[in-house]
Amino acid sequence: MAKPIKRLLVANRSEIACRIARTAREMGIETVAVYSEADAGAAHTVSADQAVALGGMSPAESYLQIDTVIEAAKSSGADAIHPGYGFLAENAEFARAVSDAGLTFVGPSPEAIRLMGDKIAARDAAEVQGLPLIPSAELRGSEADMAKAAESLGYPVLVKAAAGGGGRGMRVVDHAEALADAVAQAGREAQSAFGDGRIYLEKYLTAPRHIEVQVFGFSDGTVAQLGERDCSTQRRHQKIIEESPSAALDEAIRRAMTTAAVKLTSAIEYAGAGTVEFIVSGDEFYFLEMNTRLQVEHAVTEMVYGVDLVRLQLETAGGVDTPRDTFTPHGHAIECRVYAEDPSNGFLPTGGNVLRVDHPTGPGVRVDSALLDGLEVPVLYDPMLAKVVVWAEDRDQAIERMTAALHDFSIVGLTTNLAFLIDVVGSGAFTSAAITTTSIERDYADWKPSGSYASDAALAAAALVAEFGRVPTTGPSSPAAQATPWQTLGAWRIGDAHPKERG
Amino acid sequence: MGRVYRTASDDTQFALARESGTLVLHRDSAEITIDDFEIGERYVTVTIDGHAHRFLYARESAHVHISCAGESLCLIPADEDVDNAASSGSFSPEVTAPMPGKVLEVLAKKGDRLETGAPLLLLEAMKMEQTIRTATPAEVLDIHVQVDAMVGPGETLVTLGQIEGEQE
Repeated sequence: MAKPIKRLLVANRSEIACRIARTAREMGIETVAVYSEADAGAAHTVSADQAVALGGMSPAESYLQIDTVIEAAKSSGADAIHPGYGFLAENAEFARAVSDAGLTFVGPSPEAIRLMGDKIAARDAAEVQGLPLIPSAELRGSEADMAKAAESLGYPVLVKAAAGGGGRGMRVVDHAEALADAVAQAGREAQSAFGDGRIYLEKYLTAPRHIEVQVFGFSDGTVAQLGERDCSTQRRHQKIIEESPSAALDEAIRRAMTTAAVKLTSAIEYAGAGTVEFIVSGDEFYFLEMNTRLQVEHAVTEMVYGVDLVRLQLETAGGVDTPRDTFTPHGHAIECRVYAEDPSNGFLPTGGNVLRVDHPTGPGVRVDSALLDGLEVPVLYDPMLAKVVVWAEDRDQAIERMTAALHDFSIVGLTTNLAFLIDVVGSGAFTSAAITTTSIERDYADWKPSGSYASDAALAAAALVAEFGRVPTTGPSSPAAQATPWQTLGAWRIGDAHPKERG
Repeated sequence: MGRVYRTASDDTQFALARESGTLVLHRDSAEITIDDFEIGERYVTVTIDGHAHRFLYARESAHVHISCAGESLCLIPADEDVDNAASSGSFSPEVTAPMPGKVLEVLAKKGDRLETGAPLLLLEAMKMEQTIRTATPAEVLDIHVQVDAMVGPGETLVTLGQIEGEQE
């Protein structure tokens, strides 16, 4: 039934669309990009073999338009669609529509997506397979009924979207008076983000770790696990740093978790890449949810296991995979997510113009990015700009390598969280692997960049450019306004060093 | 003293001056001697105390943007007109949008007398909700936006009147 993919439409944008297209090209598969009006000049649009305009600006008008995306695949002659993550990646209706149009959906069956996408049904499925669950309660009826449900779990409780993911539609509630507002807000956010406003309650575990297991289901039913990723470094449920292996797991818990993940994946006859998420509190672990797609942080697994998960996905979807049940890890990998947000101003999204960018390189350094010189970062979409991923023989070396790579990542003109990442990666809490999912909000609420010696050099460098640099030939600059350094400073000379201009 | 500059983010003031054939950066009471520099197309290298520091930079009209240890600094000639509306700490009558986004909900109404931290409106950007609150006790004099309006950073959302004699 499955046939090898020849032309792949990537129904996504930004770094993940670029990353998927790269593997497709390697495999000799032609690539088709889709883009919104805001993304006409974006990296994923300009680097694909073909690009089809979806029209519209907001996600709802563009990347979430099922009919338009499928029409784009047909008109461009694509025979398969990869949804990436976010947008339509966990939309069972989309997966079904792709198959109904005679195209290959690169991902699991619509049934598996629907089952795991409904967080309540997913919990039931996990319970049947004997996976431990966090105590939870349904949110139904009057405010008094909801208050009673929360009371039975004991505060703090977590209000969660049934269709949730990425921290949206989620609120921690510490006391009864705050419940009604949180329920309303989470419901609204869930409705706007997922088109499904249903929510439920969960017991909130304090100081837990978020650890997930990468699984892969091959076309013959073989299911393999590719170890865990520790994603405890997060803020407001949005992951910031991920690593593999977790420095916090002992071998017994690791074995129990990976075995449980494989058991659940096999039971639902899952094909393709998936992630079983757990909350670890002390020596206990609880099933959180299963994500039926490629994760943002899949690259740390790729580095440690030496595999290309997108290649495995494309081979499996095309029916040309080589099933295997064992993958062997080596070394340690860490990923940092670079966001267009201002950590010194409440982590608010920034958006704006990237004047210039240079990415870090070097042995064991991988950057998945869609940044370009002159790119206008729209505020309509997710604020993630790029991922820096490093691999090294052990965790300490990986931390050193990450610190150096973050310093080498230059983004000019747009405020990002890079300086914040440098601080967190170098912190005692991170280097000693003591970070839990609540650490960042507690310890970094009022974070400010630390002034350093290097910043004196930077200020001097900027002033020298203002005084002696060539007047830009493009942009709205007024040459007259910049023609005065000689009047200010007069003739000058430093030893025998003249200001130099490099071609 | 040579020309005075400041950074856009924290108003750090400093000056670049030529003193007996040497370039010196004055920052607060510190004097930093510049041994050498080289300005390329994309990178500028500055040598201080024998150490060379290399930075990616870009120019945008009179502003110089530079990347340093993960930060994007913006340098502005200090004589440029400055918008002083948002001086920190004290009462500010204009509540402005801290980020571009969409107005989801207006939570206060004209004439409301509010305590510190009371919500004014709900903004959404990049799919996250953000509640905009008053930083001081205040009376709502005017609301300039409606639900579903798209607002840009710095756009005035609400005008507040100071309530005197209450708290501080």
